[in-house]
Amino acid sequence: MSEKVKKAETGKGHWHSFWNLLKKIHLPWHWIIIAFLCNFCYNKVMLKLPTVSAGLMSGSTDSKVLWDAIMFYVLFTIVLCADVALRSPARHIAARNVRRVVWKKMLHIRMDYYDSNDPSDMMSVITNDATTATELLVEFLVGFLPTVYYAVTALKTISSYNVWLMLSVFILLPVKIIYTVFVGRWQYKTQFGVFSQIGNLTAYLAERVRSLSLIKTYTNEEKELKNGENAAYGLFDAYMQVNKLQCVVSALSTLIGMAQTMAVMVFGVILLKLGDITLQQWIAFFMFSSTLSTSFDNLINYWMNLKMIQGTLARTSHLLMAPEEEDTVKDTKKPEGTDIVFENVSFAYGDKKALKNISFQVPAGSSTAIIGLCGSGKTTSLSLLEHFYEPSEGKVTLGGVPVSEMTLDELRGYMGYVQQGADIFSGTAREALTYGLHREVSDDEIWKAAEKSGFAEILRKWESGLDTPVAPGGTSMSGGQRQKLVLTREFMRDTDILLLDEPTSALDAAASKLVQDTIFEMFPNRTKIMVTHDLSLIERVDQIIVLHNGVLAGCGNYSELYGNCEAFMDLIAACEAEKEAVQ
Amino acid sequence: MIKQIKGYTKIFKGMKLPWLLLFLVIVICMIRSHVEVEAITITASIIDGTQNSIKTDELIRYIEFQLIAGIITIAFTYASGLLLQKINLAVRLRVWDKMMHLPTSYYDTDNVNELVTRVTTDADCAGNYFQILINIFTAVYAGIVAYQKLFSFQFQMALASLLIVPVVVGITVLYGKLTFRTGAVARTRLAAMMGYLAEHVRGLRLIKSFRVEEEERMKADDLFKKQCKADIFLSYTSMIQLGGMEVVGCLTIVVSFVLGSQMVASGEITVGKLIGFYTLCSMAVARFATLCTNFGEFSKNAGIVHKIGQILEVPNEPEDGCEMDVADADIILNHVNFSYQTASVLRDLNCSIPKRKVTAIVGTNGAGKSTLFKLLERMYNPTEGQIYFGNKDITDFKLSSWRKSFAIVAQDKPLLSGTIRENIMYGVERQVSEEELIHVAKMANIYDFVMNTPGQFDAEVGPGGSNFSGGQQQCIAIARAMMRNPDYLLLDEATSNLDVKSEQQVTAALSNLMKGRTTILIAHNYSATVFADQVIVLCDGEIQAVGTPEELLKTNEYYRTFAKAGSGVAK
Repeated sequence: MSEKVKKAETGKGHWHSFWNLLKKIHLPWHWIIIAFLCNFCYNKVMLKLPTVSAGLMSGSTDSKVLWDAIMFYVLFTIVLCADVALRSPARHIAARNVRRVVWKKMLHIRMDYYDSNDPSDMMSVITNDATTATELLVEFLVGFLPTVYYAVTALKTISSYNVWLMLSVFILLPVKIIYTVFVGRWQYKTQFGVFSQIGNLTAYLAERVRSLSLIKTYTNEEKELKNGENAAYGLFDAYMQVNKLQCVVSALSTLIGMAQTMAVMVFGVILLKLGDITLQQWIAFFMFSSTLSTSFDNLINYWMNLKMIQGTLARTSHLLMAPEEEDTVKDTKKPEGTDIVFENVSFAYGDKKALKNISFQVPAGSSTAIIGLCGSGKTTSLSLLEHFYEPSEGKVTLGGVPVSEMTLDELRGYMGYVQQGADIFSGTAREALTYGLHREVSDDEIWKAAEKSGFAEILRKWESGLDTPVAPGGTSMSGGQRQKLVLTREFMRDTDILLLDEPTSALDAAASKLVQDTIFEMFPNRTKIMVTHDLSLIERVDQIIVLHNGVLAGCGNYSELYGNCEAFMDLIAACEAEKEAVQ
Repeated sequence: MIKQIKGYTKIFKGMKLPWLLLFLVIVICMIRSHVEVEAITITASIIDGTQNSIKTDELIRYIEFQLIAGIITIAFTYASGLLLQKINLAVRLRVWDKMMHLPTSYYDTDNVNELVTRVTTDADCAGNYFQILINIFTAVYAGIVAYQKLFSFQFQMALASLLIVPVVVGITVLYGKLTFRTGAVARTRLAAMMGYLAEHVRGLRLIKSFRVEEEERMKADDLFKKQCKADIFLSYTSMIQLGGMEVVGCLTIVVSFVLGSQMVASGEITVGKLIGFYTLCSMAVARFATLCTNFGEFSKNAGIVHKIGQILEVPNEPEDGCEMDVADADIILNHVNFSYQTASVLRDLNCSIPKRKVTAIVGTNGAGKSTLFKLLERMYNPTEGQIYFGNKDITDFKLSSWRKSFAIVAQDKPLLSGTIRENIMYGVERQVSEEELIHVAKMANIYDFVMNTPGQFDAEVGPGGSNFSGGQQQCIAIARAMMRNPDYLLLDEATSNLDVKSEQQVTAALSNLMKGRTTILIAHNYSATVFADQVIVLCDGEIQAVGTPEELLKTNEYYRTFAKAGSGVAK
């Protein structure tokens, strides 16, 4: 740790942020200290190894030497096991803590962060990055100082035999450092090549396998076969690069190892002949020189790993710096009524203007449809109302209180939310139905609500009823069934305002009609705001808001807008043909 | 074990394997075992030598051997790497080739992401097979060579050291069994965590909207904790191997030095030989230990190889049959039944699809509309009944010839990554002039936006076409269908999931495409059926009614509801 502090003081900015990051991820210090002590003991025992072995190897037939050796190996076994065993909790608990911190952060990050960072991509921060980084980090914290200790003590012991012997160990050190750095770079490059080729192949295959019926319809199998072969050959070439590198590495390390042995041998033999050292000292030196060289390798690797940890944690650190949805307001204001007002609201995603100076009102208990082409800012308006984003200008108020002056719990407690292709997490039907209810719900209440939405019919068909497992995303049900489940849930949540984001777009005509009817029958008194492409919904609502490229193009009921609003007329133009056909 | 080996050999049948290279690798392995043993012998004699004086010729021999050992290691690394990759490549190509020729029905039963791994990671595992075989062979061979030398060093000591072998085997078997179990637990826990995250990461908006962050945090915490525990437990089991090997090391010392020191004392062997014996003995034991890990590896891979074997066993789509002789004819369905696994999807369909006319299919979700398309494209065959083209059963035609007369425009994921040009030319075998391309682009309503896109026809469409809007993607797909110039056109809700403006554009492009072709379309809104010559109402896998739109408006209840829902605005 003292190492770290020292490095942070060298003035490089990223060390400072690295240190801050370490503080945030809650390392299990007690486990690390225990593992550190163990590793220290291990290194201390290791120092005895050459002397003990030398005793054996020098051909001494003394039974005491043998007994010492056996005792030593027993001790060595215990320390080695303890070292490995105690490092594992430190490592895994550290990984767990990182996961916790990152997931907690991900739950609380502001939504706009996810506009530029796909949350599915961020998943690997929790899974892979956490494992890799903490493994290297714990390795460093536990192993660095003991290794230094080992190297220093071993050098001292050797110099006690003979100073020149100690110096001979250093002869090859510069070569080693150059070698490690050079090979490390090369390794990084070839590994990168392999990863990108695997990525290519996987991406190619995933796309083709999903579009297989397209390939078959277009009888393009042979060409795709060729493409697949090319991708496979690309991977083969990348792997062969790794193979070649391995050959070079083994050649170089054999050479360096041999050079080292030669140096040590020749040097030792000369000193031995001069009578400066004994045979036993020479054997001990011989063994020290090889373990020492491993220590040096380790120290170089520790340094390089430190860089790698920083690299691995770069995304984590970026994520942890992202702004959270914080409750800046301590004492929330109670809204009077639930009228919703947008007052000159503008909003932009980065440079892209999404909403420009929008004003409208949604009286409590009324129903409103927001319509417009893709990207005209419909869903953005809902997000502003839920305070996922902060408007760049103007304000959104609920019951006279700006949404930014209410706590998120208070504000979102007023809102229910139904999405296109309903959001359902896996679990039992009961869990899916009571998701986000924050209270105990009796089966009676669930059944009652389910009767209202018609979901009860579906439930009755299932053998295990409420305990029937639901697949992730609700894929075990049809689109209509999913929406019914979600509406049942909303009924029990009993919020004042219901936000519906394209509730019927994934459904066929019949199911869509049914869901529409359910919405209006189940929630007659709630404020309903629905974003929709489904024009058949718009004549049932009290108010229609037409958005066109982020600008409010019209606001009123069907008859008010009909013939008066160009954007509205454009949108319903497609229905004209049907109108004529029916009449 | 024998069953596993059989499973392995099955998948390599008919594959071109680098036998010569395999032979070379084995020879290198054998040489390496001898060199290793020789090097230790030389070290022993050097040690003996140093006690008196240093002999330079022995040192030189030592260096020579080290060099040879180095070169052999490099040769082995290269050759075995090459071998492994060549076999991996062969397996990959084989599986991919198979996947291209499997009947489509296969792809419905298996998870798509899993199928991808058959070609990527699983193929690697299958390739490991030879690596493992070589390892096992080398371990046995090197063990034998080492023991031969040990016996030549000192008979009694070698005999005594043989006792260590069962201990090694015992430890490895125990370790293998334990890790298998704890490893399985750790993998399940990891999978549970990944599953949870994958699902919830996509539902973050809902979690926030419902303010259940705390609850979800606790749930995740619990999963993280469980996974952490399993991981720690797994690493504890590795201590058995570690500790066990150290115990074996102790035993080797005891055998070598307890017996050896007496021998040295009585002058039966030299100190150098004793040390050589010790080194060699440790090596031989280590060899036996790898034997056990390799057997474990072998069974672990067997499961994966089994999966690959399963794919390779599925029969290919048939490729025989006659060419299509007439361009178009009426398609007649005669008592067609289709069951998907056990569930009956289509029941007793009887109807005809007249040539050069537009036939619309309407029906509820899951009524079997898309399945009917698949039957027409011969992605599936009817379980019972026949489909006739004119007076010939469609299964008599050559599959590629049959499919070439169809083009489909479906609702989702219409494009493949690549340029716009590549997408339009997809599956076209003839040379296409630039004029033709531009003509097609204009007909499909894409010419204007393509010209405004940087790179024009060579602009990348992105994965799944994501660089373009849904409507634009659909229009490019229409251009592709036009380029193919099929006699039959299948439209599967080509305009759903689009907003009104894009829908108009796509509809315009579609009507260009439909000119002069037999069109069968699945309609999700009423407007698409108005111009049809014939409408088929499909309910729960049965044909409820067939007729012109006007007739059906009068006679069919479902079609009336459908018409009303589709034009609700226009009352």
